[in-house]
Amino acid sequence: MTDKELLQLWQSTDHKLEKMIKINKQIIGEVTALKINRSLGRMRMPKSIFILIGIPYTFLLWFICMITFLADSYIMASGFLIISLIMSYVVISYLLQLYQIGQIQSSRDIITVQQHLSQLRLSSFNCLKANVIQLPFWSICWISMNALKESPLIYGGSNVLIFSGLSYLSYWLYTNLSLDDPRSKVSQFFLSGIEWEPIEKAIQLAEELDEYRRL
Amino acid sequence: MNSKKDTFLKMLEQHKALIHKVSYSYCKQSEDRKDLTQEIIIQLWASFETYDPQYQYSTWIYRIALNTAISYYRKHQNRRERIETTAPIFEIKTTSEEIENDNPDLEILHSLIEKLADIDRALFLLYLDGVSQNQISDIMGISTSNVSTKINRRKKKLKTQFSNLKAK
Repeated sequence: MTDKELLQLWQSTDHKLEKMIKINKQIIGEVTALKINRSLGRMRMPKSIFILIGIPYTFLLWFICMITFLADSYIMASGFLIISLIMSYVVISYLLQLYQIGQIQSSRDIITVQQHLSQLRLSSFNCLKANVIQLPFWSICWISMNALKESPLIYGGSNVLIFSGLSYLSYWLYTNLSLDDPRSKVSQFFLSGIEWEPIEKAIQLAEELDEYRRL
Repeated sequence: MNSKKDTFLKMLEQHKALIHKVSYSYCKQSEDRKDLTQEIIIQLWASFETYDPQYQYSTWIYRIALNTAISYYRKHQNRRERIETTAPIFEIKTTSEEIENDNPDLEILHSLIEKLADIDRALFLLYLDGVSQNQISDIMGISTSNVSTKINRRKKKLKTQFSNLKAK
């Protein structure tokens, strides 16, 4: 055996190793994609249930809004109108989110996956904020014009107090909920559970995969 | 911090094969190989701050990887001997599993390299990887003439052993 033969024999290990490393990279990519899909798959059920309940519920709200308007209960009608608008936005957003989950699961391109995940995260966050906005309007949905006329100070005053309290709470939650500050107690409370953890996990996996592929 | 980490990871990725080869040459068992690879990476990260750019990354990595492998090999020598004498049936032929080796000559070469003492193994590994004698001298901390002598002696012996094994 010559020196050249010995070196060539050893170099064949290099080729095998390179092949193995390439295959490993491919496998890691595929396994991570599976993990992302599995993570997001957990969100389908709760979102679908919300939509199944949300659609008839939103129609009911609109119906009540119409009835109260026709009955000249304008304060009630205005309350239900705002709540109906918010719920319509939330239900439509959830439908779009389900579509986005499907897009992410069928996409092979990591950049597209990351973009969709960002949009999904933002949409979920906006729905949460919208739900927070509707809080004070629930207090005016039950205001009776007759009761207000009969007892403007006590009835009216207590409703103003309740409305103010809920408005302040809504404003405080709206301003303190932040995606940029996940460690705050408010964020930890609201941005957790089946609606959030799968998105955060999927985003983290996608970032790791993107970083690994760029190396 | 991110830029230092990114540079380190990029360097690691580019020289991954080198680390694998060192681990592969010093550990037969795949679990030991994983441990050794991890240990090498830890040592590389720990020394990254003091990396001297006058040396190539490959030289620097070889030095640390081989020193780590030799220490690891010596530390686990006793344990390995006990396991080998008491449970030979559990020895796993990882050559064919891990790098799909369909070349029996390569398997013979690997088995002969495995039998080398730790320092000789390091020297021979560097020679087979095409590292120059000056670089080997830098990495191993021995003179160039010493490197040349050891490698030639080892090469001659290995070729004889190879021919004998192949004849069988």
